[in-house]
Amino acid sequence: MAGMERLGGLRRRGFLGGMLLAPLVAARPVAASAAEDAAKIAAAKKEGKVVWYVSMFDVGSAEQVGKAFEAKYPGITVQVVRATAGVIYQRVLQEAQAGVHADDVFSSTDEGHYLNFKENKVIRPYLPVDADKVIPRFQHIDPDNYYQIATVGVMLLVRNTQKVPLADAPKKWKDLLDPKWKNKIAFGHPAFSGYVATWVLSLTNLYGWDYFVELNKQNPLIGRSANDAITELDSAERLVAAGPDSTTLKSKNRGNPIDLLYPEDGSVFMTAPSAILTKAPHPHAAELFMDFFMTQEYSQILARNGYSPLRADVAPPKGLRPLSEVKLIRPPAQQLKTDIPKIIEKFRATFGV
Amino acid sequence: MVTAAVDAEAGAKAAIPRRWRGIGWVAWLPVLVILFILVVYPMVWLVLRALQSPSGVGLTLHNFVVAFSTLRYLTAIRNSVELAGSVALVDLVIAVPMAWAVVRTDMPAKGLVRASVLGAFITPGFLGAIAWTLLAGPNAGWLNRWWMMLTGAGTGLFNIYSLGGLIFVISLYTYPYAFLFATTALELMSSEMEEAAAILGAGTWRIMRMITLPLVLPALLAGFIMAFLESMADLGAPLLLAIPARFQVITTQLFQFFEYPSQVEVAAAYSLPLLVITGALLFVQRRLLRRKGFATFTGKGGAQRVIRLGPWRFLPLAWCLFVATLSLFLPGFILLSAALAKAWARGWAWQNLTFDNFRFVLVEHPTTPRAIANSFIFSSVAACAAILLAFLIAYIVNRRLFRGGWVLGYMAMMPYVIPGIVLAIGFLAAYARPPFELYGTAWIMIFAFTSRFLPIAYVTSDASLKSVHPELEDAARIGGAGPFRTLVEVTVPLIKRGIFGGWLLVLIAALRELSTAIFLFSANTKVMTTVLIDLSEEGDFERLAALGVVMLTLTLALALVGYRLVGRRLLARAE
Repeated sequence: MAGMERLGGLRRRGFLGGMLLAPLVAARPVAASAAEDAAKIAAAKKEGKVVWYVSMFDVGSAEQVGKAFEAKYPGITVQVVRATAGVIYQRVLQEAQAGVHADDVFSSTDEGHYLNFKENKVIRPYLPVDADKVIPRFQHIDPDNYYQIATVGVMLLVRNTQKVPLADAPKKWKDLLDPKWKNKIAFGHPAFSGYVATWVLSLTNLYGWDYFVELNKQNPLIGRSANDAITELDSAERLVAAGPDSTTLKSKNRGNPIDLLYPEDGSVFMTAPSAILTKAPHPHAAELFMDFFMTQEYSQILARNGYSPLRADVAPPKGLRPLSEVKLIRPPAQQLKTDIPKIIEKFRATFGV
Repeated sequence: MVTAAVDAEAGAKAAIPRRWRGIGWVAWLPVLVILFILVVYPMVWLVLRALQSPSGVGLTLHNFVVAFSTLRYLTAIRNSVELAGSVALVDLVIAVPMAWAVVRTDMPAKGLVRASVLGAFITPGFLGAIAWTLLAGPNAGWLNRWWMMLTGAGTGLFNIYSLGGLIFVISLYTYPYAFLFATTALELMSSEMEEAAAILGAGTWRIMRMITLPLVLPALLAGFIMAFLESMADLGAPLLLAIPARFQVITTQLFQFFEYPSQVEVAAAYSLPLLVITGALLFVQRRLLRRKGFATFTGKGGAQRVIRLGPWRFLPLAWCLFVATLSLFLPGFILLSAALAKAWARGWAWQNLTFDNFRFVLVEHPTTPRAIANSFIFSSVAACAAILLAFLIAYIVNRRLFRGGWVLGYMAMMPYVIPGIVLAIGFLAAYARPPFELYGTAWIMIFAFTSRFLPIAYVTSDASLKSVHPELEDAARIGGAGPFRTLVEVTVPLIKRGIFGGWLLVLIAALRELSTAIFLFSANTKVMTTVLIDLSEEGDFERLAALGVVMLTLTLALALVGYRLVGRRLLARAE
């Protein structure tokens, strides 16, 4: 029964917090002064915790971020709820419908979800402190500041180094259509993974849907998340894949025989945004947490875990190129929202699953 | 004698309700309220959801049109029926010889065989599926690589990413249902009739065909239906195998309805006819059991004849060990070697050996120690609640305490027709909103587990009670004991083993539960299976394997301890 009371308490605070904050946000979209910072930290400590729904990190990395935040702000605990993009999106929708407001900060891989949330005011605008300190390309990914960048990554080509020497490896996405890769390709499913969905849409923009019709003739192995393909490559069940840079790097560093390749026709650039829910039960702690994404400490955690840092003053992890040197492709945000449902339907029709 | 039996039966029917009439509602009303909370209310919300237009205003049949006019969705239903029917048949083929050999013959190493069945029952299907992708993946599966090495063939022998592969894997982890039903029936049956046939000159095979088989047939059909429904409702293994094999079943299709862009209303509609089909199946099962089943565990006692197989006794043992190898030894071995590897693709080597993965999941990982504790707490509380409730209902139904009491039994069986995901959505819809607001608490997990496994608790309680003829209770009543004393001192001691077995079954089923938990857990209420699925999507196989090994070891140890406890006590009483 303690749980019920707790939930009720959160709801009340969330409701009040939302009312108090609404005028504040409208009047003050710019970074706060030191005095306001202190007030915010005090208010956040009073709230005592922040609930974080996150899909782009594995549990280990997400908890590292949480622990670092807790160390920086003693007295505020971070509750990590980690699941795939589709699952946490669905949870927020279900909670909203049920009138339950459990989540404060929502970090996911599918920008389309954010556009939906923005339209329905499930999330609210917030410009974090030091938002201008990250690499310019990563700033203001939403012009109205409803969501901010939290991680970046690329989908690129991955090969099993034991079975595929560098000379034989595909150099661009188009090379996957070569008959020699029949029964040797692996990738994820766009309905399960925002990364895969963005990748499918990017390649459709580049080569048309015919590319995937042809790719299906190669009999690829289709998993769920983008990471599933990495597992298949580790075991040499499949030999080449479309995979995310960070997971590939992590698996490679553990000693698995795989490596990544930046395709000549473009690595698919992914931004995983973060946003505060309008009815967040811990609004001040949520703002503080959003601020944390812009810090040097956070970028260092990213680099340590094989992700590209957001700030130029932190070096990328060994094995990754600085993104400024890579050819990046990406569909426009609006297209992500309108076309991903259609792409998923097309994908199901073509691949039969 | 026949007349006397009929008279006794008629007497029991007429007399017991009268004795109970005054206090009937005391037992009846709370049970009905609890069943309403656990089963009816979430289902009412599910139906409302199915009739809701996506905008949330007004009622519509549109969701049903979408769900049952799209070819892809219909194909998924056909695949599910094909899958579940094949699995249930394969289960009987696997389990019936095993059960017969364990109960009725002098096959050696019976304890090992029973333990291996228990082990297969404990193993979650998706964990088995992960192990089998490593064993029978078409290119890199170890069995296939050995095959190619030995024969020089260019392609492997098995492809786990296929309908056949999925049937194979699910069968390996659902056959214990058929085994349990078959052994229970065989154990309760005295061999008097078989002996009579033997005296009349029938041979072993003829007796088995004409006496034993018809006597256990209702139990076999019950086992078939149980395995059918279980595999139809499985989400984990199809998620891992059917998607790469490029086909959908009902559960993966339901799961996809919840993905972006979500169609929760269509999912609700899509799941409703399942209730009807399974309801019909259970009705058929009830009829069959009523016609063929009779109390074989009476006050008259009866001994069991052990069939001596002589040198042939190693043949059934070989079969049992073969099944155990496929379901436990091979997958366990491959999981353990992956759990002990720095990078499992590098194979066996001293420099690749590490205990870091175990340390990580048991100590360093921020959530798994808590998730392991949660799993055990939620599951054991749910098991106690389910067994208590199920026993009460089974008692009411079997002793016909109230007119229409069978409705309670039917309600208790209802959750079995509801796929875990759908049950979860019903629970979310019903209990995440005021006045309950249980979302994110341990209670919603416990209630959902209780509801989900109430049928298992009910079936075992019901089977145990059916095995005790009311004449034993009547004897106690004639001797002057009141109804409660009779229940506590006669009925409960007689069926204690069955009831504890039921508790254990619910506990284990809840420990390996995935499809409900995956939608109801929150930061504080993660369980082992949801963490395992998290890890499986992160491409982190070594740690996934380590947690899988931990989970299997803990649950297997628990189950063996429980079995030993009950076994010893039973032995003491027999002496």
